Amino acid sequence: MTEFPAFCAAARTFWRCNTQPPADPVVLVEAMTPDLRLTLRNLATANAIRRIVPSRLVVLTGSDPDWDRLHTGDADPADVEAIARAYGADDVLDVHALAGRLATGAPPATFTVADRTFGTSGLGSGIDPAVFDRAVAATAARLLRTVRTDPGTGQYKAIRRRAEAFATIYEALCGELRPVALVTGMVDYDRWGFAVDAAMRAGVPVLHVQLTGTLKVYGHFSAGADPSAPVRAEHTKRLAEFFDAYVWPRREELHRFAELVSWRNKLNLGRPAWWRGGGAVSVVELTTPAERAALRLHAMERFGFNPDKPVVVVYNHALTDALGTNVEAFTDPIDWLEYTARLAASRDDANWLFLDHPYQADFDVSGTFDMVARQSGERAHLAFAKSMDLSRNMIWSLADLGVTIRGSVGAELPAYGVGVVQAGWSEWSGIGFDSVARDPDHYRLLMEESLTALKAGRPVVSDEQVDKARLWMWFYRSATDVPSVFVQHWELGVTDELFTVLRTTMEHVEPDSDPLFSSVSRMWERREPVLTRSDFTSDEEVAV
Amino acid sequence: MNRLTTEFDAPIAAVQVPMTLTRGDDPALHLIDGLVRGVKLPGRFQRSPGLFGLKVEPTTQRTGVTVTFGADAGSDTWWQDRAPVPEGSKAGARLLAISAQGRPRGAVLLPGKRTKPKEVSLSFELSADELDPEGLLVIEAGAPAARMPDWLAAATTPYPAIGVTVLKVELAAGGATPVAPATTAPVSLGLFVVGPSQIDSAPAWRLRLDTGSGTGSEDLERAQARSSVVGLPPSPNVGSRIPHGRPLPPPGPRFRVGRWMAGLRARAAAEGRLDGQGKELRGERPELEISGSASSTRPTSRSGPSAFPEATVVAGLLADLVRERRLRVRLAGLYSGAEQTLPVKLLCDGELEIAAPGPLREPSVIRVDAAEDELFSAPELRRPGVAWYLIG
Repeated sequence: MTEFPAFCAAARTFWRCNTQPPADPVVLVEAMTPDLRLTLRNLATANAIRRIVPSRLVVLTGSDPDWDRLHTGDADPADVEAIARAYGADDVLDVHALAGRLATGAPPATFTVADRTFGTSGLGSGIDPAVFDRAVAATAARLLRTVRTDPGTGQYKAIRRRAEAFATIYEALCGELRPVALVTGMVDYDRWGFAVDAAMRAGVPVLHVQLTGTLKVYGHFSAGADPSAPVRAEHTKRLAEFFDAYVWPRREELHRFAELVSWRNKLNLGRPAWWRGGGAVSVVELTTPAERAALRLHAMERFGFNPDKPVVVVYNHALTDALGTNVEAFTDPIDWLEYTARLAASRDDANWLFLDHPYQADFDVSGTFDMVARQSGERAHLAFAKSMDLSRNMIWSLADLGVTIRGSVGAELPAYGVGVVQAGWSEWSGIGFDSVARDPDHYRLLMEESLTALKAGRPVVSDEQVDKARLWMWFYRSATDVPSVFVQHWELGVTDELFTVLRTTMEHVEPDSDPLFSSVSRMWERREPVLTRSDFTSDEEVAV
Repeated sequence: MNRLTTEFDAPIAAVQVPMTLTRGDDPALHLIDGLVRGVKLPGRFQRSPGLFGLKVEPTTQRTGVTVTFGADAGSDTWWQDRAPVPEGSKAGARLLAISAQGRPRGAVLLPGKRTKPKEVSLSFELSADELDPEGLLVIEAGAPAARMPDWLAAATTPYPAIGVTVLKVELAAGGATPVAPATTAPVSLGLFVVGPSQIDSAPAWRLRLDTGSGTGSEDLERAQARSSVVGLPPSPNVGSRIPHGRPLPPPGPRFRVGRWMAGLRARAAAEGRLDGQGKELRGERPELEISGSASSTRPTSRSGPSAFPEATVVAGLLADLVRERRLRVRLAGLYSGAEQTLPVKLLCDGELEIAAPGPLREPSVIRVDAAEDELFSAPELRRPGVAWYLIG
């Protein structure tokens, strides 16, 4: 990346001029995800706070072979440090190296961060043991790429020891340093999750940057939060309240914008970065019900389905992805998948298409989906397929009801009139356009009600729910995606083009009032749950 | 999905029949699944089955649809890259069942061994109520739905559509397009597709086992495509198109005696036991007399036929195969998977007649091959240039 050094030089000057002079308070920023796009966003958000609150930047870095093996990015640690320093970091702490030494019982006697020295022998953690155990299990599952891990193995114990180390380090950093804020791109597993846990217990605001769009940030301000619940659970409620109070009342004014986003989504434009891509295979070309019916004829035949029965499409979860990150109806995703397969087998008054997640290979090596398919046997009304083997055209021609744990289809299908049953909470699950199950019995009830409605020809989602889903799609992709020329869009990748553009903007665009600064300022002052493009609490128009 | 459309969905006008689709960016090619749009052609399948949807509007009560599929070198590389088959598998003949608007419409066969791109067309008719201008004309290609017998699966390719191109789709008003035979190409591996019987009588086919240089075969193919009457076998003096310098395959046994000799003694003994005759073989089997010149001609690099068995040699082989009941003619229905063995009659001058016992209710595949074992081999059938030609 030849443009990188010039960009760093420009950034250094830029940020020195756009933040308050450094002071004692600390803004803690994680830079552990090996994707420089996220690191840039974390640092920019932190500096937007440092524009308001005189403070200094402490950046947490490092990685270990277990995480590197997952290939979630390829940032060079030297580049991460270079960016951190360019953005004004006072201290760059390789928290992995420290945790590694603590875990192996050969710790340094002390470590120093932001001019504070901590003795390693006195470290402890106030984390709830159940929260700790769940996070360790989730971390092991992710690293080993299998949901059900054995706590007795050497690997698991090593993961647990490292987790203990992280918990104690973060307790010290958040409890003792009392940072102004924690800015992080992830809230799960040990290396991020325990920082978030320590911050919330210490009353430190957590700004949760999203890995998509230009700049999307969720705000977790801990007033009233239950420390034993996932941080996303409280946030789901906050988002629903915000949407009800400020977005839904404006639906007439926002109608056309919601329609545009819903149309663009069919073309697979503007989608969140982790939604299925692949080009033409994911573009929905269906424009009329008659077209859908023509394609459905062939789709039914292809799977050997009875065309007189409705089709339920079950979207398998990326099995080890962030277990426990929000409220879940089943004990684990395998329980959910097996339960759903048994339910499907017994309900031959519908057709059931189980789709494996497009990125399952990155998340599961246990072959669970194939095993469930085999266990289900050869039944005329059941089919198992890989998502990417079908065009999105074909999937949409079939789906009469969608089923997921908390997957993105829950935010998409209802916008087109297809109901979704969720076996858990998601950002949008409090808004009311999905059927959200509390537990397995409730899940079964919701499925049965949906099937009854389908068979009677009644819609599973009401017009109002469709409108809410479309408005949520607009809210997610537009209203809460802040376009800053100093951040640039995720789809530019980590490329020389990105660094050239950022250097150009930092050198030539006058920075005051850039949406990065105005939006973060508004969110920070008001403690809003999400960064917004416009001021939703005023009487002004929020979209033009 | 009762809110599929948004206010930004622009209505797409259906194209009126007659129309011809030749490009992937034609708006009439409205929807794809498992097909990659081409520029100079509508597209190439990347999955099997694959399908596409045309936005068309009928202008008459009946519409004739003719779809032309192609196979080229790219077809095989695409297949190797995309077919979920074990590493090292190779693509062969492509047997495609075609359906449209949810109903099966026929089958086509594209040969596996190709020296140049091959194409094949299928025609079918649609009534006006099968074509909704608000909807789509969906055409799908894939492996036959019914389970195929092993002898057919062995001769064809799994996931057959992968890599096959859609070269053209023609829609004609009035439905005047006759339903063409499913294939008129020379039949690779003795495999050919036959359509369901148009009239309520038992169909029969005539096949010729023939040889030829490259050029001759093309003449024959063109002749076949024009009419159902076979041209004459190629003149032995037509030069082959073997490129300069490429070594020829070693000449096969120019005389059939060589092949027979391999198991002759054992066979003779066995047959002697069976029919109680110990007669001297030469007397019983005059066909073993060597015909033609006794001296072998040395192959030259330009005269193709010496590398290929002569027509007379092949005709003799055919007669032997029929008499020894080693010529297998098997038929499989492409919708039902039902198989049967068909009787064979040798006509004079190296042609066969194959007859089905009754009218065929479905498109079917017929495979003609020789039952080979340690007593009998027919390597001539695998010589370059030796092919079956469907002549009626």
